[in-house]
Amino acid sequence: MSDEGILIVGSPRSGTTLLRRLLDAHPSIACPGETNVFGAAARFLRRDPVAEGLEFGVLSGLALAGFEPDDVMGRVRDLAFGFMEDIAKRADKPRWAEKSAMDAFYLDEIRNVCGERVRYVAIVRHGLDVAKSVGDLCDRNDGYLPEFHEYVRRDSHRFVAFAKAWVDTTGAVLELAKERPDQTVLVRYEDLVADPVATMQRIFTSIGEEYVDGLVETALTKSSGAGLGDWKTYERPKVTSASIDRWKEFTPATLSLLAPIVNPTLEAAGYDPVPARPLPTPEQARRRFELDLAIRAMRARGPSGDEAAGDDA
Amino acid sequence: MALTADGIREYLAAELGVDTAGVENDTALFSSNVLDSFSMVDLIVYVETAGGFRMKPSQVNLDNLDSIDRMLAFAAKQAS
Repeated sequence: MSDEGILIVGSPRSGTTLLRRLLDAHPSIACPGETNVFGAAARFLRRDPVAEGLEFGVLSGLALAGFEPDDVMGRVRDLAFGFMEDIAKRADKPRWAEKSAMDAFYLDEIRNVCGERVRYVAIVRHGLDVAKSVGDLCDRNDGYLPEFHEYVRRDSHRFVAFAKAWVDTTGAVLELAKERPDQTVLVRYEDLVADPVATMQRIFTSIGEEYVDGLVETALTKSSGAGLGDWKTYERPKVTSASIDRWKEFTPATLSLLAPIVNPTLEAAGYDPVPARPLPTPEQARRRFELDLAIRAMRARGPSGDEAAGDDA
Repeated sequence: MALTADGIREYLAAELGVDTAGVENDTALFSSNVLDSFSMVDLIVYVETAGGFRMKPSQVNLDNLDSIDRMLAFAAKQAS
């Protein structure tokens, strides 16, 4: 098993940025802001199946030109690793780590590129808290990043789209942890913020480093270089659990939609399933809509405008 | 299913998460903001189902719905 590099992987909004700043605070590890190098490598190597098993993409195209896929993959890996090695050298640190939140959408291909030459620090977070946080991100950006836009195109209810994205990315992370247990340390966001010292001790032990006393307390107070997606961690000078259980702000109707989507993956990741009432039938939904309008009219009239009890009985 | 004071109180606690310890039969539920709009819809659906009637929009008012007593009185008028 190689210790060339460390990749932080997890669904976007799962605490990957927090992890990157905590890792970067270690004297032996340089973890810059999002470089998107590995996601770009994965997209470069993207394969689209066409007729009769042929895969359309750079590997097939170059194979037909005489370049073996392993050779191409190796060159792409050398390119990505080269940037990371230079970043570590500039930081005067022996090891590099990389975190780009959208990597979770390309994990299969990233695994192909990196092989056994990296260790993975994988993080999972409650899917509905992730969905809430993705909503915040999209509001902040006034739009959808391409990876999320693909889901929103298929589901106009945006939290349904975000929940499905979480299922796919977290599923990929769980699969990685299951298939490469010696190469991967898997943590939960909720455990990280509840006891960051213990969680980071476990992570550092797993990647062959000693925990440094005071690392957690000081990591967020010092700059670790600007990074895309860093905004929330720079707003908080210390690790906090303030973002846990925000999913409980969803209305019962939204939970009814989201629970069936996320519950299987929640349970696979060690969370309790979200309780939710069954979805209303179309007739029930129409009746609820009528009553909602009547209640709004009642509120607008106020106590003085009420009609006498028993009218129209 | 018949509409009863105990049934309404149990629904408030079990389905709407209302602490019914201080809820008397004449406690104002809607006008005192004990219930949000979503919960109001839920409660009216329950009252209609248990009482076996369907309210007209003009009947959705505080006089008919703002307390357990008022709901029972309205249900009794529907039945008679």
